[in-house]
Amino acid sequence: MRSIVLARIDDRLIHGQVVTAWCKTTGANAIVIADDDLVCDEFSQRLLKACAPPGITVHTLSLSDASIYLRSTGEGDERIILLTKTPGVMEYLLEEGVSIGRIILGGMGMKAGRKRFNKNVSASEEEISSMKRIVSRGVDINYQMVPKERPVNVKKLLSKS
Amino acid sequence: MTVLQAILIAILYYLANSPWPFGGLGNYAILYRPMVSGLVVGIILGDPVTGTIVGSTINLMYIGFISAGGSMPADMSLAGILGTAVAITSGIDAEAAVAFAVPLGLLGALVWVGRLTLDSFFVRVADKYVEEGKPEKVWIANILLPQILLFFMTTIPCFLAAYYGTAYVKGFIDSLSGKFLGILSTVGGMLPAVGIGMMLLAIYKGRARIFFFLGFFASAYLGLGILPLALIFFCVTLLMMISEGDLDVAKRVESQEGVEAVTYKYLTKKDLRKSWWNWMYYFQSCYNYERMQGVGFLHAMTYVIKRLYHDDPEQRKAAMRRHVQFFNTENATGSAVIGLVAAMEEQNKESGNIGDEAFTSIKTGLMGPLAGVGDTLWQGVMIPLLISIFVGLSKDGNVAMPIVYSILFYILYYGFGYWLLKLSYKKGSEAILEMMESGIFKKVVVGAGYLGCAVMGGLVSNFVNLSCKVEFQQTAETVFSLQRDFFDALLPGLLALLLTLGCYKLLKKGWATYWVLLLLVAIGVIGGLAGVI
Repeated sequence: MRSIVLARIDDRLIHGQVVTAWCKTTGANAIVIADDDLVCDEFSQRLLKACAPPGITVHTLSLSDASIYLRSTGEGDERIILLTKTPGVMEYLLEEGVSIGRIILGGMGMKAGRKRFNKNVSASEEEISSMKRIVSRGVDINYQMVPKERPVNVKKLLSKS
Repeated sequence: MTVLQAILIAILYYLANSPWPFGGLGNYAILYRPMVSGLVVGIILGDPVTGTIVGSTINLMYIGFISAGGSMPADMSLAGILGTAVAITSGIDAEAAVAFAVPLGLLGALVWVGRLTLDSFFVRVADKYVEEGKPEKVWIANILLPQILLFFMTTIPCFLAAYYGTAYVKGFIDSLSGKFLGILSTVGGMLPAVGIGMMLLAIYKGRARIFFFLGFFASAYLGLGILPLALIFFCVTLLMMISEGDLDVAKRVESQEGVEAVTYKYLTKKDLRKSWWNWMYYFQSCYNYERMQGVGFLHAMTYVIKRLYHDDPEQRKAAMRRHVQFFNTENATGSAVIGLVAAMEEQNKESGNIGDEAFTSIKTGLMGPLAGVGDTLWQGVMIPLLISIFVGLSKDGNVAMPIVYSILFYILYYGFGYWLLKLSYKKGSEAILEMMESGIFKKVVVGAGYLGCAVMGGLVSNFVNLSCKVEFQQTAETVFSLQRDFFDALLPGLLALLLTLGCYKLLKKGWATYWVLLLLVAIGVIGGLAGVI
């Protein structure tokens, strides 16, 4: 099992908060992005690889590949930031047996079918029930944009919506 | 302080958070910074020199400050503006003013959260104009309404604090004994270590660490000021970083064949420029948690939309709908998206076959990566580096330096954005991709990290103050001063260096900034009372 130092739901994937804050405080040296659409999108893949900070390798993997990759034996002192666009992917990985201690909810943009959830997070019905199922497995989900911010457990927000 | 002065100070606080006069991020890098606002407060209160000194000192606290993707750890503009006002009206020194300013910065961050929450209402207004297909009205949702809200949210509390608060603080300070003010200055002299420690968090790694010590030694032993230090280490960094061909990347990308696209067939140069200026100035004018810069992006695109689809209401609505969606990126690097999307819209007009999906995927694909690169480049290294150099020059009261900084930054930032706009409009997404893949930005960031570390070393030596007052009777006539005969004899500023590295270690361990601040306050107060420091 590879070592995941941060599992984050954020549909902008690698961006300012991840690069300027999380990569530094977690001391990560690899970013794994689990997303089925990205795998067929060569442009975005190249872009994400190009914009990662120096010293950090980016792997864009399909959900099933990500699950295999994360469960395989790691090499050396690999420290992985796992990024997904939606909670559904985290749930899938948890079901597959990937060990994720807790999940950070970073941002999900407003789009059709989603409602405002908290600050910069919007979520659809399905995404909310997915978060509920994750929480009921005993995995905490904390809303936190950057490490300096106090993490907010989303349990209460979930029970309201 | 007169009512008029308090009003002017309140308006300054509004401007620092508004798009005027330097643009959305321009203001954030210029008026928002205590070094610059300190000068302006000084002018308002009739003492520009003190204003510059105090503002620059407060600015040291916020050197390593980054606000990425809608997060805002503290409001340095309020800290700078009110901190400087307090210092000038009550006559305390710059170090003591820092101790007052820092808590104000934390309060100011509330304004930010309130604004991002309330601005969501104006998204509804923008959506209405979209459904009506009226691009000419979008400015109401993007500028007029949110700016009126922001005006009241910022000016009212700031006026009250400036007018009543400073008088109250003055009375409070007058009633204090000299001993307390001395302790306040001791604490204020130590606090820049936290600001510098935060900056080191971003750049103190690998070989750059040696540069930090080089900068410190050059300043402590040779007495080099910040500017000579920066220039010398700039050359050293260039020597280290440049290898054959590094600088050719930009040229190669520029000279690339353009993609098969129509350019300037329907759009005029003026349309593109207007779109871009609008983006640079108002991208974050209606910043909100729901769509972030969505309304700002639509507003910028209205010039393109009006030109291309003025006679086609359905196309107009469709275009407005796709550009009011969630969007969030860095201001200058976002110019690339403006250029690309303008070119795509023109292509769409020509052939009519570019679907919403293509627009959405290019925008959502680019916004994250470009923000990552842009935030690192500008907020992470360029602004702190420039500010550090100029704070070093302005901290002794040189009023020209904040102005030189402002002009220099404006030219660099807007020059960079305009170059990206043109490049992306003419050469398309492949050129942007190639530039990112070339690693040129990473090189600049690494190089600026080296130089930044050297400058931080110089700042520690010049501006972090911590000295030990312990003395022993050596012989009947002479005393052995721990500071003079031990620390200074070994390395002047040794305690400041240790203090800064200590703050860095704690921050790196994950301590929240305010705990580190409180720890320093505690050390300062206890040490000061005991007469040790």
